[in-house]
Amino acid sequence: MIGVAEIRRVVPHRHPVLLVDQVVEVEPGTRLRARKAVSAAEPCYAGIEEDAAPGRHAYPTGWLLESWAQAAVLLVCWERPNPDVLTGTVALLAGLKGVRVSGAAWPGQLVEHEVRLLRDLGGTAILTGETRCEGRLLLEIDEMTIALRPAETLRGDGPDDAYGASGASVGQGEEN
Amino acid sequence: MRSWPADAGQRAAVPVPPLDRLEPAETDGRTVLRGAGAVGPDDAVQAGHYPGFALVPGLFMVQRVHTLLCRSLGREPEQPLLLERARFLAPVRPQERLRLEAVVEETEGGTRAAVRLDGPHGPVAKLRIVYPPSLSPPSACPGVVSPGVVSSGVVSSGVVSSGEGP
Repeated sequence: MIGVAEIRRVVPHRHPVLLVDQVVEVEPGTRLRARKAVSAAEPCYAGIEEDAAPGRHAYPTGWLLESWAQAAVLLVCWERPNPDVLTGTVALLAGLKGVRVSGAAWPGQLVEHEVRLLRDLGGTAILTGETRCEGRLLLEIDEMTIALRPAETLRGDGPDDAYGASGASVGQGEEN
Repeated sequence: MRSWPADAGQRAAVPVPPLDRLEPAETDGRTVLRGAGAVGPDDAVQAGHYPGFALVPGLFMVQRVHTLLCRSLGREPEQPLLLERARFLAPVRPQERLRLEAVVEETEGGTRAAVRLDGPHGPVAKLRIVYPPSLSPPSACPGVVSPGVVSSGVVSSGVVSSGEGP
């Protein structure tokens, strides 16, 4: 079992938005399975009204996707770890294609992400996979594109475009 | 050169109001929703994404857009959806003021929203979201019942369940 201590050595995400609790299985460069326990103590539940409808306690879709994305970054960075966004190479989310959200998770449940690497082009990685919860399919992701860029890009003293060519490659020629 | 100074977007002299509502406008038969404000999470969340350099997670922006669209469209946010495409074009700092424009159209496949988010330096994200017409719940909140329908541990009616809970 690979726990939070090992995860923190690979990625820069930290409490309270480190949204992967455990890596169950990893084949570097190929696939990774990870788990996250949903808790009512998470910041996304702060401020919910006393009389809120039950549906308000569904784990937010964006947070579930962020959790899957962190599992994707874990796979991409497994053999090139960098827990500090201010140095080295940082992983930036450049795009998503074909994300089907068909279910929700609730506090007290365990979700499991499966991430598979489709292509690793050096500065850009494209991944696919799913999320399940107690046998139910919650998410299917056709493609997530992650751009690996020098930390200087974020600080503003690097190249002009933080997402570079990879950002443009996601949805090329298809404007909103 | 585009630049994100280390302290920019973290502590503005006057906090940027949150992007928390959309105003509708009708344009050529299409509904256009617009809003403006910051989408940054609170300080505690910023501390973890990332220590020493706060950035708004792109998928938290997606969550904000989804929440506001659902509110405007009268949908429940836990309903199924298709995020056809998302492009993240530039990093966003927590106190950056964003402008959101969503063009919403009703189609046979559901309600389609083409969303553009612009920041102080230009476009930061473009999203295409489809809300299917079916309103069947994606999954039940396990064990949740409407208030007042549980008596002596027996659920008499009003069970919120699709049989998928534990």
